[in-house]
Amino acid sequence: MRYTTLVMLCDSTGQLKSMLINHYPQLKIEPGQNWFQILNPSDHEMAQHTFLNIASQSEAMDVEFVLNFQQAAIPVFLYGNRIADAVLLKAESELDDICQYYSKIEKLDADTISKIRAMYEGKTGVNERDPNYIRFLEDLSRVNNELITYQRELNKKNAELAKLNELKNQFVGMAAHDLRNPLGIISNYTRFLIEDLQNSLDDTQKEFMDIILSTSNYMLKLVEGILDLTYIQSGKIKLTLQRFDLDVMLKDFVPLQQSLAKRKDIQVVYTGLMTELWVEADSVKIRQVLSNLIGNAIKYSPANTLILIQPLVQGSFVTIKITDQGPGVPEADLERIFEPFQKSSLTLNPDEPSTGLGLTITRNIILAHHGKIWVESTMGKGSSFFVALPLAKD
Amino acid sequence: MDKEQRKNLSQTILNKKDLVSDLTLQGHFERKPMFTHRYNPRQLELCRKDILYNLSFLAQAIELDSPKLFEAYVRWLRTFLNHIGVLIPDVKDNFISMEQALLGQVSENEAPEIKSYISLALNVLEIYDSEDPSYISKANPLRIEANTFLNHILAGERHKASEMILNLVRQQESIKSIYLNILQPVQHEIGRLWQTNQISVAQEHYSTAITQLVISQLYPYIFTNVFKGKSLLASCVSGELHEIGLRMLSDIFELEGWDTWYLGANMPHGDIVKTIQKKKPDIIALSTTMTYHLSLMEDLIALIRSSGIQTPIMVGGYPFNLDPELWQKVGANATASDADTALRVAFKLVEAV
Repeated sequence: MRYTTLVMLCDSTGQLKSMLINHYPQLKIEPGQNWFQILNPSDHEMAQHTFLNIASQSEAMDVEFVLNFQQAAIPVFLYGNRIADAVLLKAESELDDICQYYSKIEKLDADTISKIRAMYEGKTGVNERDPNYIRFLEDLSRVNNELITYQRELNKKNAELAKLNELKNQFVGMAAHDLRNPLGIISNYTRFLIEDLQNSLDDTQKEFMDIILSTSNYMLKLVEGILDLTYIQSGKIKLTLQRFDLDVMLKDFVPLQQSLAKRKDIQVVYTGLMTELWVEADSVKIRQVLSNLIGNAIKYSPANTLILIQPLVQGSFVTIKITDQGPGVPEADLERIFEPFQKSSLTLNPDEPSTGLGLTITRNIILAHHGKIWVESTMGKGSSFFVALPLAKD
Repeated sequence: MDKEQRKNLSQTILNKKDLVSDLTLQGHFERKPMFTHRYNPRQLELCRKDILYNLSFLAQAIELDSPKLFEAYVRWLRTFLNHIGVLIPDVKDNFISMEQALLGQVSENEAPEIKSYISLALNVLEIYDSEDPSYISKANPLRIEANTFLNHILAGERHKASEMILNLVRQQESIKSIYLNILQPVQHEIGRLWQTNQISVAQEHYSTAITQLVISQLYPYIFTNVFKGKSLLASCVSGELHEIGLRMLSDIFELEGWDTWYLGANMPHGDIVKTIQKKKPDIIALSTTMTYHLSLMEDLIALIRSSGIQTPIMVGGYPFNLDPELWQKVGANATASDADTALRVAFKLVEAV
């Protein structure tokens, strides 16, 4: 059953004012609370009587009060829902009605009312049933749906690409492996021929043989680089970790590089720290890294210069700094040179070709050791390559 | 009434919906003169819009001969309106006025159908049964995690929400279990909280967006590109924006080794057909949440079939869970109420082909 009471209540302007200021747009008075506060105190007895009267007649009860105001007709609706033994009262008013109230009853000017309107809108946010607002939310959902659908597509494509990349690595690995042996044979047999025929070859023939040897050696180096890289990129890099003193290794290793540098009268100098530098690393691969970096330094340095190798201990890392007096690396190339097949834009001596794989392999080996590698350079003055490796824990 | 007659009646309702909604409002005020001063123009417009919704649902249920659909809608409406403070007797008055307005627009033969549906609605409005409990049930093995996730998203804490889920993945919780025991029930629960006016529509949208964000962060774990040879193409019907259920289904198929193409929400039907022809999936999954999109679903399936595509079609979404026979009425080959059932159904359909 539903009852509607249209009773002329006393002027509740004061209560209305308080309600609008404190509770717009909805005022819920939970069971047990004093819902009479909305009404003029003179109406309390009558309102209570009305409720009790209706409640005694019906178990299910909805009551609607319409509050009338004597000064102006501002509709405020009180809904009464009987829930168990309590009555839930709800009062509602519309923003437009509130503005009318302020203009008619409070007699405020339009400017003030527009400020009040803004305040209410700010306080209550947006109207959830406003078609523009709903359209806005739907548009947001649409865009969001599209974004996540593209993201799904992207992830799926990424997985496909990763699989294709793995296949590519396998293919390149197999191809390079099969090329390595015949290239090795060409290189070795050319060297034998040069040695055996060195007295019977004329200058042109000797030059041709030298070209065959250097070209096949370059190809061999390239194929080995590709093999190394595909192995690393397939995630198959396996480190044989052992504890060793990097200082001892460098003291042994650097003089071996001196022989390569001799041809250009370059001096390679290691400055130790007078301290042990224990690391837990793959010593073969660390030698490969050092050989690569020192080899590059020799390759790019002009004759009669110095290459300095210095260890530095910083926190839990030991950093090896390899400084040359070469032409330097342009700033745009500082990151790029670590990418496969990317060489510095500086032209290199044609007698010392680069495969463009050495620094990529070097970086991957260092990253596999949880280390870091970077370069600092000043054009015309030289470059410093830094390799940081974690020091072994006690 | 046969199918053709129901379709005609449904069409009449839709064609005359503007007139019927005006007449309904007019009748409503005639029955309750004091209501005339209760509504301002904006409220009148909202009330009119609600009547248009009621008519859309009614037309759809009549066309598909599914009183269950209309009954579920009215039950949903009763809960929703009750929670936003609309009095149920007002709603009943409104349905009675709508019946009167409709009866003036339909033939004598059609009148009993209208009366029976409105009478069904009035009966449903009369019942004060208990409301749905939380969708995060006590039997849910991840109920604690689901509730924590729900609290994070309701508080707008998207980083915490996603971190929590990613931690579960790191702790070897299966993605499928996260989908079925956390994301799915939490989405249902958000819908219930909105329906019962405990959260705003903005919160509901924001919560869905957070769930979508979390799902996107699970994608690297889902797409392993290990396929067992079967493929699925999934799409919502044109105009349908509720897509998260079908997305979860597609992802679970992917996890189970199906190659899936998920076209998403609001997909034009011509494009769906073109993609099916291009990808040639083993199964097509179509979804709608809004009951009034069921005719579009029927049209889409007819379009797919008339294009010469014989691939089995599975349909799903809210209305198909309400009326277990509805899938046949829209011309599909099967339905499934959840992703796990869908997997079993899909295997059977593929085997049958």
